[in-house]
Amino acid sequence: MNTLAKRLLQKLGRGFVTFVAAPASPRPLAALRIGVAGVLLLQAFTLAGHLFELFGNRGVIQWQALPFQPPEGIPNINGLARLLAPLGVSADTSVRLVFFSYVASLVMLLLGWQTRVAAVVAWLTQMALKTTGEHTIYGVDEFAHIALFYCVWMPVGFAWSLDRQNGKVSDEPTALARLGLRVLQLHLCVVYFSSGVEKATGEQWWNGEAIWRSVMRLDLGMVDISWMANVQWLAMALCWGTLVVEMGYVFMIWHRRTRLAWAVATIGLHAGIAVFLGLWSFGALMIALNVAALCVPATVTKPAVATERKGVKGAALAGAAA
Amino acid sequence: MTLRHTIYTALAALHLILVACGAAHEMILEPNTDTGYTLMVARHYTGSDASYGFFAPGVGPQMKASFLLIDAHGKEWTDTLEGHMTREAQLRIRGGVSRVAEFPGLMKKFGPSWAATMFGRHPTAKTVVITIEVYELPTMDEYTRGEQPRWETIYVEPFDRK
Repeated sequence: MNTLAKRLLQKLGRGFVTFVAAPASPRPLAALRIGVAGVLLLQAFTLAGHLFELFGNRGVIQWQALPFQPPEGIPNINGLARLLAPLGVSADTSVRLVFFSYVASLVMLLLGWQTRVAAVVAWLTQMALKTTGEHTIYGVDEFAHIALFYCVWMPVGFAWSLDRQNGKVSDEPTALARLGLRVLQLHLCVVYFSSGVEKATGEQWWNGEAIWRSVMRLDLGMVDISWMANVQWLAMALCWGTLVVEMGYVFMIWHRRTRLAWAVATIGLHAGIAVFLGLWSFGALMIALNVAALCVPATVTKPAVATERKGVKGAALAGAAA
Repeated sequence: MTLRHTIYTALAALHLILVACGAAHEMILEPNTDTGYTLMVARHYTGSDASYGFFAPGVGPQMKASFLLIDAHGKEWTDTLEGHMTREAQLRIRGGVSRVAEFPGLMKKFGPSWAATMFGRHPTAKTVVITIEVYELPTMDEYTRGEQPRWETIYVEPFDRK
């Protein structure tokens, strides 16, 4: 019995090492970088004309009226403006400075030029904007923040980047790329499973009312679906389909045969959100995350000897699941 | 695995545990101690404090804020906070308005701020009347029986220019 348990533990241990350390191509993470930076740049473009209304001291919600003051130690424009005020820098200039730094860092991130520095600046400035505009944020801002945090420590600039072009980094498979990909995949599993479970606790997601109520909202709905009241089974099927896609994600993305189907279903779900609810930036960002996590091959295809990494039995692990 | 990769893996595992706690709305430690506060800040930086209950357990009602402006001669006109904005900016402003449904106390802070925005935009206005309405949407069954969506006023407050 002890031997059996020992063997089982050894097998589990080897499986775990393969899962988190088998060298993987950095391309999926490069896709994450490009997708996230691209979407956030487009989003920044649509917000640029309303900077002061959204984030300014005399915006729609003035800083002194912010319902939740940012905790100490969290970057925010209000704090930066107080720091720069003795230098004669106005609050509006502080807003411009943060936003310009954010956009510039996103451009650098998109190109993969000085990627790590760009990721740090983008992450901190996005956090400052998010914290200052706390009363106006929605899901896309949370995911942007998470994705930029991952860009800081994952090897997102090791492929399809100027840094790679300039020979600063190598696009050889690494264990860190594998770990980064696993973290992204597991994070998305938590996201979808918890989202599905929370939805399933509400009656609206069982009787179809959730789809009806979301698309019929005048501020969200992009098309008239009032006819759906006469085809209630369709609303119900869409709700149930959403629950299946979200709660099934954690089980279905690991096997090659079901991964593609789930990627298509999940991307379809977000494309639907973008088109029918007009939440294009949220939909596009989630699609970018899923493309990186599920669609870009991470499997090592080079000869096994090329995958040897210090401390990792690359040859044995090279064929590991993507 | 190398020692370095083992450390990275352990940190990643810790991060994912915190992510799962965030998703489950678990705070782990109250922020009223040094450790709790540090953890709260760390989770804020890493995004592991987020929860993901979008449109859950159900889709909330739409709310809108409208503004009636009145000048010294009694002339009246209306405006909105977000009418001139891009869709992405509109989503943000409307999200802020909808938060009033979640936290009614917010109007004490939002009301004067919105009024100040309107006075800034309309220098001749002497009074602004803020109206918050909620979009009452019938269920699909009610809709097929002929009920129609309607706006219901839930909050009205006038503000005078000081």
